[in-house]
Amino acid sequence: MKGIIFNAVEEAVTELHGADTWDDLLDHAGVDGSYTALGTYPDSELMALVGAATEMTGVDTPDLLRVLGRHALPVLVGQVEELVDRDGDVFDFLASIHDLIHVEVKKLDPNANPPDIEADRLDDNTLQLTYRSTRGLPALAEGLIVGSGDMFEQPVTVVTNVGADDSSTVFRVSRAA
Amino acid sequence: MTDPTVARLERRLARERSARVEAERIAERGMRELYLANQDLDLLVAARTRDLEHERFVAQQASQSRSQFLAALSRQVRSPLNGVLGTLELLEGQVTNDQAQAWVTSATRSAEDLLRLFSRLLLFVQLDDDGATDADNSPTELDKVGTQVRERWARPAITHGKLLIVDDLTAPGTAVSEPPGRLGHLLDELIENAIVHADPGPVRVELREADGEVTIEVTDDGPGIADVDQLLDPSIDDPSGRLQSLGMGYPLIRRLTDQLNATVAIDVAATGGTTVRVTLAAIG
Repeated sequence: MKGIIFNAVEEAVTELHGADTWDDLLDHAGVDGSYTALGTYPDSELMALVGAATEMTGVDTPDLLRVLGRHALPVLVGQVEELVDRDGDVFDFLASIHDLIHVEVKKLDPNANPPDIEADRLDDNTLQLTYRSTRGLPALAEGLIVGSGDMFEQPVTVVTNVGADDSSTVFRVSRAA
Repeated sequence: MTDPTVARLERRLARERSARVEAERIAERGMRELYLANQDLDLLVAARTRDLEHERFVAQQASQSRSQFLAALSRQVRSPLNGVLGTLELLEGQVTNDQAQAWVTSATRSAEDLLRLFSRLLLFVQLDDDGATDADNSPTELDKVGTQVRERWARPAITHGKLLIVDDLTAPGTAVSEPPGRLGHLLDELIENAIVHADPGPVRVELREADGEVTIEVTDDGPGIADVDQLLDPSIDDPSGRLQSLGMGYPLIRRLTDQLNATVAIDVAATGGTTVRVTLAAIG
């Protein structure tokens, strides 16, 4: 997994609970914790961190991932700032993630394996995103979607369903009333 | 005993240092890979450029060899053909029998066709080589063009049962910048086509000047060609057979017009008859 994800998680934890909590989380997870955005690290380290957080807080792993995703989104967007129109529409941003942002990720690291995200506009107020990833982190993705709404100041609500082929997750994203 | 806060800060500092070192290592590796990829790309471009230059050289050599062969062939064939034509002319004066006279006429016509074909071939090769067929690059005076057309084509027209009418309506001293040789080749092709292939009737060559332009029209009363676009395209079907009978004529016309600062228009009248109109800028 790309180091930027770990950086984003670190920032989210530090922002929400302080730097000491991040230190404790690293100790509890038994990971080194020195992450650079340029590097790639085992997926198991992220799962160890989330597992440690679950043990320390008693909060379910999916809920933790949603929170982390929501707060990590601005950090990730900061890496591709020139590709994002912050005055634009949140649906446009979400629909462009796979064909624009993930392409840039692949340019920087051809070995990167970003998730596949297919976007379908159902109507002006509803966007359907189909998520496929070998990592199986749909809750993190859901948090990132909600975080996008926060960043664009166009709040969204997300209904999550298992996809037809079981290996995918379908997010129905609606503009919050 | 170390202050826990200091210990935490030291650990964070160590993590940051470690992350920085790793980032530098990754960046250096990326730059090295980029440099090597550029080196590979440079080598690939250089090799491809060499290949292309070699292929171009080989193609030029092949084209030059072909042109030289065709030019030599054309020259070498024309000499004996002229001998044949001369002999046939002598023979024509000796033969009294009508049947034999017809055979001599037929042989003469065939030899002339062959000579014309090889002359065109030679010109085509010259145009293909460098586009320059004129030793004389001076402007062409229109009054000379009219005179030369009469001298060159009046007799062949009569031989083919046609009347050649040349109307030079230009003012004295009118000229065009195109050299006389190339313009002459073009007119020869157009007039010969009209004389040889059009129906019996007059062939009219008209030279006019208006609004700084010189127009040369060659008109015949032949059946024309159904699709005018076919006239300058040697690769297309020729249902009338007129283009096919011309052999290299129209490809040559096209090549010549490409090299002249001229526009060429072709009108085919509904009632029959074709006019080829060449327009050039007047000078002087």
